[in-house]
Amino acid sequence: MRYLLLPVLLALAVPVAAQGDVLDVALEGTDGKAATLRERMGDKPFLLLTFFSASCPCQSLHDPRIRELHERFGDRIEILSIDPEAHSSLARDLEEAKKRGYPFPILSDPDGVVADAVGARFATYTVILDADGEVRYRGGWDTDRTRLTDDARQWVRDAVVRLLAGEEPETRETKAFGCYLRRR
Amino acid sequence: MTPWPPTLGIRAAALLLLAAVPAVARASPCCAGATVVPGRLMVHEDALVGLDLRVGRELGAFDDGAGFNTASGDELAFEQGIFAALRVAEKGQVAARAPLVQTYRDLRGTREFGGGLGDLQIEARWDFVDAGQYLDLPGIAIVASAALPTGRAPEAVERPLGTDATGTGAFQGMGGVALEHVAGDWLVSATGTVGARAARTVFGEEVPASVIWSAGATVGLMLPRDAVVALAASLTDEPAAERRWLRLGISAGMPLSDEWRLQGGLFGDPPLGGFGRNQPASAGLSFVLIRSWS
Repeated sequence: MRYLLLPVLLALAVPVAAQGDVLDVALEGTDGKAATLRERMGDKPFLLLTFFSASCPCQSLHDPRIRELHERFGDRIEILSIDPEAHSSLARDLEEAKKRGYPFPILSDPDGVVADAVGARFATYTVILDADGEVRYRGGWDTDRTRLTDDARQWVRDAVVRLLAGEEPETRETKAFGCYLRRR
Repeated sequence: MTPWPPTLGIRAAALLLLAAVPAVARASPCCAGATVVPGRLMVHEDALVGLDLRVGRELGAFDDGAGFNTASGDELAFEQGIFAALRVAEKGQVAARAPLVQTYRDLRGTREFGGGLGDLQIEARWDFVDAGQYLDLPGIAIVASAALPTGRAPEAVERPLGTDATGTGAFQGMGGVALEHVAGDWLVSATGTVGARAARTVFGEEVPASVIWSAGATVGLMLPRDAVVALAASLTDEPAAERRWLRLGISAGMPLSDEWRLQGGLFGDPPLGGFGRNQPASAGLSFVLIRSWS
């Protein structure tokens, strides 16, 4: 079910046009690099950004699915995690990335530059951009909130599969069920 | 013995304890105050329906001098409510509750049980800022509620011990501000409301409108698997009726699945002199089952 006014609010609050500028944002990551998203993307056709909150249970719940996606598609799309929380720090992100076994870096974005550009407000919110910075998918990871279920609709995975097959995602926009990404 | 059925203020205080324990609290503001409907939509939810059950036992009553007198008889109050909430805007929600109220009284060997439909309750809430949204800013909301006199008024009872009274007999409205803050695994909330009971005529006598003030605070701790345990207190004062009461409670909630959650709690009015005035004191327990849609 949708909010009664959700379509209107989303149209007002969330940028839906090209996000080309986002690719030129440079952030420091837990891999020790300070590079733009475009540089990190390299020759890969798609960039997946998933927004991170260290304290959010929904984040921890989805860690296995995020790692699994990287294992399956990480050689074909660039997968990055971004920590936009006001109290984030690279030191904390380093610790979290290690603890969670992330095979991809967490980029520290305490000013929320990227989150603001793509309308990320909740943990696990994910966007998939193409090489032109066009948003091809935005929203939640899947339909699970408090526990992983076998019959969950896996929006991000399905979107990646279709995009890599040269098709548009069946669902281009969904809700992310994580905690608020705490801002100043 | 309770001469009057529970008022909106009493119900609000009791249900505040239930509303204090939404599951998946990290994803949403917690610890609603000034609420008469125990189901509050969390951030990602669009609608919910629920069932609440409550039973309370009268411990005694506070007199005009705030002294406490233990009950001379036996009284049990039961309440079952069905409720629903709907998101009407990203930050706004409305809710309604229909209660069934029953009372059992045993006074000097005379036993009686009666009840019926209580006062319908409606509520609206607008969250300007959600708890957890900003690092340094608490959640800020305005709340408003009303009770419609659909229950049987105390003066309209037909049974000797008045157990068929199920409503206040007057329109009541409340409005206020709720603040909530999340710090790590802890949640704290504070609520202040002011309400009014409309004037009415009882047996030809005009009962003037009265103002009801209420303040509440809740401290909640988030546990693994999105469970929450909370302690709550609320103080309500009705100056015109020279009534005042304090209610304390402990409650807990946990999700059964992404769609279902269960809440339960114990509540009580401290049966000690000075903690109330012209008001019965009771203690009891409550359960709430909620089905939500996101």
